[in-house]
Amino acid sequence: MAPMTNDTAVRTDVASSPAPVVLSVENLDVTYPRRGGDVAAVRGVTFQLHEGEALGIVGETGSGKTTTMSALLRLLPQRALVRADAMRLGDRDLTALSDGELRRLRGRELSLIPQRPMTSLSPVTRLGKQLERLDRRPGGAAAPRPELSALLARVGLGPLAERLRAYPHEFSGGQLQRILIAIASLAPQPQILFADEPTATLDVTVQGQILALLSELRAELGLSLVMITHDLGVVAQTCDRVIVMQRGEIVETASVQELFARPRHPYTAQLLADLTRPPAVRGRSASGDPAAPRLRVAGVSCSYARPGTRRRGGRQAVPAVQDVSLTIPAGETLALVGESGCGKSTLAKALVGLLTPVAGTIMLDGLDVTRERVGRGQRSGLQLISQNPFSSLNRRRTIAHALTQALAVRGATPADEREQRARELLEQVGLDASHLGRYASELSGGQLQRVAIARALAAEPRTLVLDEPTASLDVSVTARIVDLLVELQGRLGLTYVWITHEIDVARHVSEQTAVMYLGRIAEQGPTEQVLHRPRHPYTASLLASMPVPDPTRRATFRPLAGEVPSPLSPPSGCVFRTRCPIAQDERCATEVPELRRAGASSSACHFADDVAPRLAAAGTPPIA
Amino acid sequence: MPEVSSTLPTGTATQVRADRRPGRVRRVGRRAVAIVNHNRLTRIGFLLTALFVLIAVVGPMILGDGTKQDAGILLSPSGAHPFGTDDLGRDLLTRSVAGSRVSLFVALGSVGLGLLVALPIGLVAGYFGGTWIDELLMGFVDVILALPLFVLGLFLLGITGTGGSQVGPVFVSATLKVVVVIAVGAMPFFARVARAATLNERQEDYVNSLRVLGVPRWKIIFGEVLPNVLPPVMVQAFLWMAIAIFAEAALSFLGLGIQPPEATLGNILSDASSYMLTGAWWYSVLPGAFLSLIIVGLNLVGDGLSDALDPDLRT
Amino acid sequence: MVPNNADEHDPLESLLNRRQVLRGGAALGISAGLASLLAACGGTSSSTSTGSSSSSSSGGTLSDQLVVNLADEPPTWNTLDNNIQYLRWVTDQVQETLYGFDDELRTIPILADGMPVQNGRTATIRIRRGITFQNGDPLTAEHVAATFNAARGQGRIWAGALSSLVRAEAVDDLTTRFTFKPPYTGLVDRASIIPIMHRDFLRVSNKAMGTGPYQWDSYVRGSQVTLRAWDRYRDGAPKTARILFQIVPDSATQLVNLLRGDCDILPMPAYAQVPSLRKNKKVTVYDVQAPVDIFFWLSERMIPDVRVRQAIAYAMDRRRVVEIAYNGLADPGEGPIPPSADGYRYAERLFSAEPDYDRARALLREAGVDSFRFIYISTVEPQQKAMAQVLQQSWAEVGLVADLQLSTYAAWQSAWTTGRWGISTLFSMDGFSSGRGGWSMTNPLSSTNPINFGRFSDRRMDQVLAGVNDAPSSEARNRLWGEASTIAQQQVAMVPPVYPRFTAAVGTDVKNLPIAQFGVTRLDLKNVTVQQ
Repeated sequence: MAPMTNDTAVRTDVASSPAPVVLSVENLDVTYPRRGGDVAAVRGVTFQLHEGEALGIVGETGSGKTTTMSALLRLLPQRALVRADAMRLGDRDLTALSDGELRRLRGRELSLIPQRPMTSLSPVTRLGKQLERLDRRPGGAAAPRPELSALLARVGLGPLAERLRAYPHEFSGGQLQRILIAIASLAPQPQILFADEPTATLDVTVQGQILALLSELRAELGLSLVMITHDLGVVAQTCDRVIVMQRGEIVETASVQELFARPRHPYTAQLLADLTRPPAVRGRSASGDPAAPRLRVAGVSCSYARPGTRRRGGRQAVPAVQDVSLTIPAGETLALVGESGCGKSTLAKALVGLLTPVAGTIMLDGLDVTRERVGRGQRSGLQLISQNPFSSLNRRRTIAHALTQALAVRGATPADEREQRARELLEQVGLDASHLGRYASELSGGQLQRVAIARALAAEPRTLVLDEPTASLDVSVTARIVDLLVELQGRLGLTYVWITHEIDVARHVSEQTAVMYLGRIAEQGPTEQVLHRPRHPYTASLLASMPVPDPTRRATFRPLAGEVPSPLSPPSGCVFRTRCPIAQDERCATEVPELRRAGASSSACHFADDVAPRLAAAGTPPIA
Repeated sequence: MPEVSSTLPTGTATQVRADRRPGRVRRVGRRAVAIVNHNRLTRIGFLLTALFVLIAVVGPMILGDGTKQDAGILLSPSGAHPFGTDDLGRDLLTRSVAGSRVSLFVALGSVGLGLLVALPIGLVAGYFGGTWIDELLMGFVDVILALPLFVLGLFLLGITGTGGSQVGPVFVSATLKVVVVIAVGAMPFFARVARAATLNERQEDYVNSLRVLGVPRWKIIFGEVLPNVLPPVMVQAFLWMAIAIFAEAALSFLGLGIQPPEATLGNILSDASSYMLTGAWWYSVLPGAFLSLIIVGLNLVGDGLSDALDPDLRT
Repeated sequence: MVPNNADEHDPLESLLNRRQVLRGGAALGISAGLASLLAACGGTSSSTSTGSSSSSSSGGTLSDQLVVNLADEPPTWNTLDNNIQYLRWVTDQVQETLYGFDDELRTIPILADGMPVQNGRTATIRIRRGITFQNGDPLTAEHVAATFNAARGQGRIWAGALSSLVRAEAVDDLTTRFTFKPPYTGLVDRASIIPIMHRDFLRVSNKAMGTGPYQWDSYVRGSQVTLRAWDRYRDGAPKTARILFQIVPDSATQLVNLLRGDCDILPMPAYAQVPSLRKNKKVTVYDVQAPVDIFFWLSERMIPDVRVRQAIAYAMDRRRVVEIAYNGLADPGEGPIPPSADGYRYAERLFSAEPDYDRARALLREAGVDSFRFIYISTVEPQQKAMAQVLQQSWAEVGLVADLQLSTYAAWQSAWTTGRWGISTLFSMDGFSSGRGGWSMTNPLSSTNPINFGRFSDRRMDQVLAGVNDAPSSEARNRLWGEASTIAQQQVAMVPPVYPRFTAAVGTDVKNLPIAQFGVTRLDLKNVTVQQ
């Protein structure tokens, strides 16, 4: 992958000098007529896109960023009323074009990279056929096969070129997104690339790869890019200029450097402040007694039966978690970090008893909760907060029902006091009694997550397992929920196992961090140490793959190559060696590294003691 | 999205209750109105269905049961006999109306009975999806599914006879038998929909949360999952009401259904088939149109429900 | 004397072996009106159904094809295994019997050279010289003997009818000797029905071969049978080259075929359609008194009081059944022997066409019954269904309540055998089991007959039926059948409300069709021509 530092510099210059405008929008309004008042989704949006420029449109859910793009591409539903003073592509008036003319523009001069690669290709047609259909030459002829292979090779799918005969489900999400990028950016006469949250469904390392590929192709082909995202890190790493949207309006437009250095609008400032926060100040004494930890996980392994192999005799166990040991003192937080499929959610399920480990013990306050005899009452000391608040509450039940039911199960509260107690619980999580009669569908994501927390608290737990509690929430809401959880921890003396893929969150909330890769702990230790002086190349790579919300630090953005291997056939020796920048053939391929002490942390790398110099030698910049 | 500020005044208990009840009623009412008004076709469907229910309940009280052979045979439609008369000299309007009552009973009875059996099966199978319990239950369902409704009807009515029979202390009337046959035919479809919906629901985090809280399985299945599984099942149920009416008509047409002289729309059409090309067009066309309207109405309601309850299509 | 069981199993076997006797309009369509309407519109568009395309009145040339529509197909094409009309209407063109019927329906020799010579318990029949099978083999007494010996074999449809036949043997090339256990008067009747088969074809069930004017061409299951003229037939090759029997279950489709000229002969159209067919100039509808019977059993077991049974018989509105259920194509009924059978003229007339409600009420009063409830089982052909409802209404006049259970043939059969019914009725065509005799109509009334599910038991009836078998003359036998019919009426054991007629809708282009043969439910197509 080409180094990007230079490109960035060049592009910044381009942006500042008046390059010709390729797309201009003036006073765009999008309204949905409704009974009882129209809903304005976009109001008075005005912006320009220059040739070769990367424009970021940032905003939270409902801010109108996707609606703006859809209005431009005329992809909105019929009932949406679109009005604009002007929408021009070069010297053509987009509002004057017929549907047919606009359709011809889409896919030729205006290309779209969709949010969900998995659902953007037909699942029943071979890839080659779909590419042939999509990539129509001006004369209507299909592209010949060799050209398609070259196309795939260009987006880094070289060895897959012969897989034109494969079906979409045989590719990973990252590969599919590469294919869609190939389709979009290599259209006949591409001018503007619209990318609608192109990495929202992808893992951190793959996200990095895709962003890098996009920047690279853009530089090479001189395309203009409109990047729609909620992630300020993505903007910082890929865009020249940024539009910040809130409730359908543009609140700020600035160059990327300026925006991050001197945000002018309070909303932007708040967004940035929420993102880059120092570690939470703990109002509690470090009462953790290492001799009697709250939660001790010893040698836990979990496996799944492979789906589709349940027939007689053919049951194949897929190892998901292997030999994981953790110790968490009371009142502390352990952050569990890793990519999807690393086993962190499986471990969470094992902790709360949704899954019985095939080996190992889980001791809660000295009591082995994996034993079958352990009753519900003893188990209730461990509660789960799951990732998606919209799914963690029954949408056909009221909040009151959810809370009183939890209280009823716990049995500690007499029936006539439950409603009172439910109200107290809601207050504890920052909601009030008026929410009791509501249904889940009437609450926002943040409110739902608060209710989920309140419900877990109803069981009077000592430990909460938080499975990516903020992953599906907007930035500002994330910060509020994190604050609430930190506050509750201080107030109630809770112990947290906090699963996250957001390094910032881990840094903010945890005393200890464990990094998992392919079901094993790669590195574990005090958060300060692990996230700033990684002793495992995977931790270092993970950190480098994160799009940091700081445009001045593009140099350190160095996504890890490759994808996570299948747990069905893990690599021999060190499981990370296939992607490791410092792997050495003989030792890493044959010897399984033990988790051992390295500095203040433990690392499962053969070279734990000198990871940093080796990485530097391999060309990976050090972590700041 | 703005978050709610963390401290707000606490409402008193009475306020909470007062807030809750009208909320639920209003919510359900709003929902019902929204479903009815989903689109014009759905409105027509509800109108037709309401009309059908009204006619089926009230009609026979006014017009009688339509078994009297007291008019001229095969009279064409007139003021005295708006639908004409049949080959035995019975008023076809009266018979059609009396037949619609049987149709309504069969539709409600068979779908209700089918749901009663299918829901627990589908819920339990779905909740334990992929385990031996699932395979056992769905295996049973598939066996029934493999039997075509009419083979089932032939078998059941063949061995017990087409009239009523005494099963132990219970007298099972011919109508009830038809209801049972159709319920058995419908059951696999309901069970499969319920299972599929439950499998989806099983993936929802709240099921896991409730398990972690220690809520007993049966409470999760029947108290929490059931309400979420109901909408798709109800859609099926409405469509099956139409099928049930149709199936009763077909069973009667085969002579397996409800016995003459009791009027059912199926019996009427069965008798009419001999006269179809002999000039007595009203004999088959008018009761047939009546049946079609009922079925179209129920189908439109079913389609409307399916659209209105599909979260992806909600506005 | 040992009770003679000669024919006891006859109706049972013919009933159990035939499928639903007349499908009539009970098509297996699911969507009541629409399906059959669609089917009707679909018609037969197959290329083979050219039929006697619309008649040009020139009347010069003859069509080379005759099309007959049948409502059903038989399960076998072997005439020793079944005698349903859909089988015999086809095979009678291919095979012949020793005796047959002339236009007055008197018995005449066909393959036989004269009437049998009866000598105590033996009889001899000579066949005509010089007759050959379609495969070229000469017809000899060997084949005749083989046919009869096979016919009385286990599992064959004729086993009951021929149970008193000990053996048949060829005396010489042309003479067959039949030996009976008890004296037997039914030989000519049976020899008029049982087709003579080639010795090598006794077990063949997928086609027919014989000495008849047409030979087997092809058969497509569920669709059609084709016969072609045999040019070496002894009376010369038939004038029509092909006969196409199309299997068209739906009565509306049959009608459309007929009216479009895609069908020349439709035997037994749905009764309801006959009036409208009559109005059509392209079609002639014939109706003939024939052994088309309604078995109408009253159960002595379930209705033990003869006065109640008599009330049931007197309260039947036979006129309305004739007019409404049969559209006038029937005659008011009395006892089991129909007007087309020889014994009819010896039977008494007890009932009138109009119901006698006063008498019925009086009988019920006498029996001390206010109202009486009974189960009425029947198959579900349209005319049977209509009849049931007409009767139900007329019985209701006097407080008799009939619970109707109308069902498919199979379901009717299983209900019938349980014996839990007051009245059981079945529509049946008996020309192929009884000829003009009264065998199958009266035998179920014998107290020892296993199909006497209504447990009717009458000593006089048993004596009469036993007497039939050794009656000195056919006259005496007919008188006995008449007597049996009278007893059945008096005891109300079997009182069919009507005697349906044999009907056939025939295109006006069809010539030389012997209508008289309908009187024994037969189709004789050897001389039929179709004007083109």
